[in-house]
Amino acid sequence: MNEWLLVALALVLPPVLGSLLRGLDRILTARMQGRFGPPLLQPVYDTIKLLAKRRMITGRMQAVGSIGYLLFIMAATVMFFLGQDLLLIVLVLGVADVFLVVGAFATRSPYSQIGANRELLQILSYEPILIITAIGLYVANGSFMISEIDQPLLPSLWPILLALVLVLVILMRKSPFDISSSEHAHQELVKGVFTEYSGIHLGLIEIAHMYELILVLGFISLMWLPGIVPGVALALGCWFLVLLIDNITARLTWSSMLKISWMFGLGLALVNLIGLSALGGV
Amino acid sequence: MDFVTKSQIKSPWLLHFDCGSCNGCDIEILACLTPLYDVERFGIVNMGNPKHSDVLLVTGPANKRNYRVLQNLYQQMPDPKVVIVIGTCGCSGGVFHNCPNILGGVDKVIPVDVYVPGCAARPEAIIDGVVMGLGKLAEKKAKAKTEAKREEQHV
Amino acid sequence: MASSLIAIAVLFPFTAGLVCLFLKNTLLRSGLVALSAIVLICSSILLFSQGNLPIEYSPAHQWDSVILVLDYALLVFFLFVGVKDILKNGWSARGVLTSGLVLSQIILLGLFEFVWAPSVPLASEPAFFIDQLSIIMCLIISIIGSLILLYAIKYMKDHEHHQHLSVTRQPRFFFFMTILLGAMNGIVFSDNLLWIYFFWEITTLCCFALIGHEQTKEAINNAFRALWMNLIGGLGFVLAIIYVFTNYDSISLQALITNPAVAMAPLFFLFMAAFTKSAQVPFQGWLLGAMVAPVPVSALLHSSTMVKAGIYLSIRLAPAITDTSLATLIALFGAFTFMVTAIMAISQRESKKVLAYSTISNLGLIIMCVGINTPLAITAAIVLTIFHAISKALLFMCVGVIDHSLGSRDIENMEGLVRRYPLIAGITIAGILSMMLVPFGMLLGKWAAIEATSAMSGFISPLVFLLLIIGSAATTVFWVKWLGRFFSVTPGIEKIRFERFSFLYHAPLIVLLAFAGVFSIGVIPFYESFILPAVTAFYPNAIDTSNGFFGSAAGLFTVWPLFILLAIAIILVPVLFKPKTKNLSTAYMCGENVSTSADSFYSVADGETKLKLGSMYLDTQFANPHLDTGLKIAGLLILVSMLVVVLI
Repeated sequence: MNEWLLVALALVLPPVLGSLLRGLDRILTARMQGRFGPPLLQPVYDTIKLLAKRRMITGRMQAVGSIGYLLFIMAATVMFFLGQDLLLIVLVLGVADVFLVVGAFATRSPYSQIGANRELLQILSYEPILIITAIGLYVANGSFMISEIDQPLLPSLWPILLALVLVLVILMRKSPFDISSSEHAHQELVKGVFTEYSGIHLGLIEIAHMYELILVLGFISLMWLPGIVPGVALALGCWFLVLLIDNITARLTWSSMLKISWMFGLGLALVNLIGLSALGGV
Repeated sequence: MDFVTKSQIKSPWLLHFDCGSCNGCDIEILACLTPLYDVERFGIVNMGNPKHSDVLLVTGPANKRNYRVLQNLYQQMPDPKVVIVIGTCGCSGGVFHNCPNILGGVDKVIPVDVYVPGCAARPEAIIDGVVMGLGKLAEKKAKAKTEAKREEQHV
Repeated sequence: MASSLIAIAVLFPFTAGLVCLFLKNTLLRSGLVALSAIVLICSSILLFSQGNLPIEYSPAHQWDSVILVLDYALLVFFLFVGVKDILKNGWSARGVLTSGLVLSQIILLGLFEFVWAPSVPLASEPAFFIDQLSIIMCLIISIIGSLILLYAIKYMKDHEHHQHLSVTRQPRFFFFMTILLGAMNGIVFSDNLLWIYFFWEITTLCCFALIGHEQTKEAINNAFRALWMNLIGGLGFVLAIIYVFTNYDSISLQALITNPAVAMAPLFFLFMAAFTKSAQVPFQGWLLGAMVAPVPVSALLHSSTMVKAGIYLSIRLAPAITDTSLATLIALFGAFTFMVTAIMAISQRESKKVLAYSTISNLGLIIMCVGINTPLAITAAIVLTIFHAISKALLFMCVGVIDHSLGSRDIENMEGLVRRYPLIAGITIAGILSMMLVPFGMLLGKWAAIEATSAMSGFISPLVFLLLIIGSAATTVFWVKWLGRFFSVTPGIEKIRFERFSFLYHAPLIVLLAFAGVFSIGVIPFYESFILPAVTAFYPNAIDTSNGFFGSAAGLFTVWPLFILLAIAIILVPVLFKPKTKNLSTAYMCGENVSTSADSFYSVADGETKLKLGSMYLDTQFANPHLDTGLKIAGLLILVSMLVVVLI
C-alpha cells in the first residue's frame, strides 16, 4: 500500500473508530448497569463541545502538554500503521505521556500534582510490559518491525497477550487501575492528571485518547496479523473483557497496581519468553 | 442549529454544588443518575470539576459561609455555561428564608438561568429543568452571536 | 607530529597542574587553567584530524623508569595515608582496608618487577596504541574536561566566597583536576598494562584528594571509602599483570585482546578494576559518597571522565570475551546495577544524588552492552558513552549553578524555577530532555541496547530482560518527577526575565547543550564518521543508514521526523501560543481559592493557608536500608559467580 495513503488512514481512521468505540463503551457499560446509555455518537458531541468552549488556561505549559501529548500519540499511531519498529513506537508513546505529566505538573494545583505523580506510577507499571511485548515480538519473529510479521503470533505469545490486557486496563483508565484519572464519576482526585485542563486543550486530550485506544488495540491485533479481521476481532474481544473487568471491580491502590502488573504481567511475559527459548524460538 | 450548538446541548457536563441544602434535593439529583431515571441518556455526566463542566446545579440557599465558594466555582467554569437551581431553598431561601446567615436564593450571588422548585424537587422536574437549561444555552449562544455581529457592524 | 600531540595531551596537564599547585596569584592560576583547557581541546582535535590510525608509539626508555619510580611513590603515599589513619583513629575498617590493599599491591608488584620478571617491559611492544576508540575517549576527556575546568574557575571562586574561607584551597584543587585529565589521556592512549595501571592509580589519587577537598569529617570518610574500593581495582590490575606476563610473555593490552586462546582469569581481574572504578553495585557507595565534593569534581570525575575509564577498559576488553559465560554474567551484572540504581534514584531528594544514581545506572547499562557483546551492543555502548558524558557533565554543572543561585540542591526547592531563573532552568530542562527523551542520542543508545539484548539467548536472558525493562521504566519516572518540578508555577502570566548571563557559568553549558543537540540531530553522519571506525576495529558494522534512518538488522530508529515533531511541540507551540490575561484561571482548590493570592486557600476557621506541594519519593518501598544491604549482597554474589566461572 502506498505510504502516504497509510499515513492518511492513520490520521483519519483512529478518531472515527475511536469515538465509535468509546460511545459503544459507554452504551455497553450502561447496559451492564441496567441503564440505557447515551447515544453512540456521544464522544463526538463531547469533543466538539469541548473544542468550542471559551479558552481558559492556567499557563503556557498546558498548551505544550496537551499538544505534545496529541502530536506524539499521533506519531506513534502513524508509525504503527506504517509497520515500523515496535520498540520505538513504545518509546514514542512514553514521550507522549511525559508531555501529559509535565503539563499536569506545570500548574500548582493539588489534584493536578497528585494526578501527575500517580500517572508516573502508572507508567512504571505498564511500560515494562509494553517493552517486553516488543522483545517478545523479536524473539518470536526475529525482527522488531511490524511490517515483517508474516504469521499469527498468538500461539507463541498468548501469555503476553494476557499481560497486554492488563496494560489495556491501565491505558483505558478503567477500574481497577484507574489510578491517575478515570473515565467519569470517580472523583476522589477530581479528574487527577486532567483536572486543570479545560476547553480546547481537554478536547485535544480527548482526541489523543481516541488515538491511544486504537493504538493499544492495534498492539493486541498484532497477535493475529496478517489477517486483519481475526486481529480486529481479537482486539475487540479484549476490549470487551476490559469493559467487563471495569464493571466488576473497584479501584485498587497504586501499590496493588504496581505489584499486580509486575508480578502478574511481567511474570506472564517472562514465562512466555522462557517457554519460547526452551521450545526453540526463532 | 449548527453542529456545534447541537453538540453543546447534547453533552452537558454537570457540576453539582450543595450550598447549604438539607441534602434532600442532592439525593434526588443523584437519583437521576440511577438506572430508574438514567440522565446519561442525554449525555449528562456528573463531572465534579468546574473546569470541565457546563451546567452548575446548585441546591440549598446562598449563605454567608458559602457564597464565596459558589462565586469561585462559577468563575472557574468556562463559557458557555448554565446555572440551574434545584429546590425551593435555592430559589428563594425556602424554609430558611430570613434566617441569620442566609443571604436568600442563589440568584443573590450568581446569575441563575432555571429555577426548579420543590422540597425536595422530583427527579422528573430536575430533568425537565436541565433540558430547559440546555434550551436556554442555545438561546444564549444565538443572542451572543447577534450581539457580536451588531458590534462588528458598529465598528 | 602525532608523538608531540600525544606528549602534549598527557604531559602538559601534569606540568600545568604542578605549576598551579605553587602559583599563589589567583588571576595567573585561572589563566593557566584556561590555557590548559584550550591546549587540551586543540591537541585532541588535532590528533583526531590527523587520521592515520592506529598510532603505535613508544617514548624513550627512560620514561619506563620514571613511571616505575612514580608508581611506587604513589603506592607508598597511599600506604602512608592508610597507616596514618590507623595511628590516628585506631583499627577502623577504612584504615585497615586501605593499608591492607596497598600493602598487598606493593608486595605483589615488587615481587613481580624485581624477582619474577625483571625484564619487563619488553622492547617489542609499543607503550602507546591509539585507535578510534582512544581518540573518541580523548576528545570526550579533553573537550568536556576542559569545559568543566573553565566552569570550575568561576565556580570555585564563588564556592570559597560562600564558605568564607580564609586560605584558598584552589591551588590544590586545580592541581588534582588538571593532572586527572593528563592521567585519563594516559589511560586511553596506553597499551602497556603497567602504564595503564600507573595512570589508573593516579586517577584514584585524584579521586581521593578531591572527594576530601572540603576536609570535613564526612568528606574524609567518603574519600577513604573511594580509596579502598578503587584499590581493590588496583589489586585486580596487579594480579592481571602478573598472570598475563607469566603466561603470555607480554604486557600489551592489544596482545591480550587479540589472543585467540586467552584465559578468562586476567580478564576478570581487569573487569574488577573497571567495575570498582565505575562504581557498580556493590561498590556504588563510593560514588554516592563522592557527592560531598564540589560540583566540578562531580562533573569531571564522577560522571563524564574518570568513571568512563572503567567503561573504556570494558569496551576495550569486549572482543576478548565474545561468546563466553563471563560475558553473560557481565551482562547480568550490568543489568542488575542498571535496574537497582534506577529504582533507588526515585527516592532521592537531593539533585546530586539523583544524578549520581543515574550515572551508575547508565554505566551499568553500558557494561551490560559489553556483556551482550554483539556488534549492535558495542555500537550502543559507544553511543551511550559519548552522549552520557556530554549530558551528565552538563547536568552536574547546571546543578552547581542552581546551587549558587538558590543556595540549595534539594529538588523540592527547584519548584517553579522557570519563573525565577529562566536561563539556567531552561538549560537544565534541555539537559534532562537530552538524557531521557526520544529521539536524542541517549535514547538512541538505549533503544539499540534493548534491541541488542533481545538477541541474547540462554537461561539467564529472561532475568536480564526483566532487569532492563524495569530499569528503563524507573528511569523515566525519576527524570520526569524532577522535570515537572521546574515547571510548577502558580497560574499567571509573567514576562520572562532572564537572569544575568555569566560567561564562565553559562557558556560551557550552552556549548555542551549544543553538542548534545547537534550530535543527536545529525546522529547519522556523526555515527558514520566518528563511531563506526571504533566499532569496526573488531566487529562488523551493525547499522544500516542507507535510507536516512538509523536501522539495525531488526529495527529502525527514525531520527529526523521525531525531531521535527519535538521542535513543533517544544519550540513552536510556546512561541505561537500567547495566553491572554482574561483567559487565565486559578487552580482548582474546591472553590476555596483566596481571591488575592494565586496559591492560597481558605482552610480551618477561614484561615488563609499557603499551598504546599511536594513530589513523591516512595521512601517506604525503595529507600529501605535492608533492601540496600540485600542488593549489595546480590551484586557481590554475581561477582563471586563470575570468579567461580573463570577459575573453573
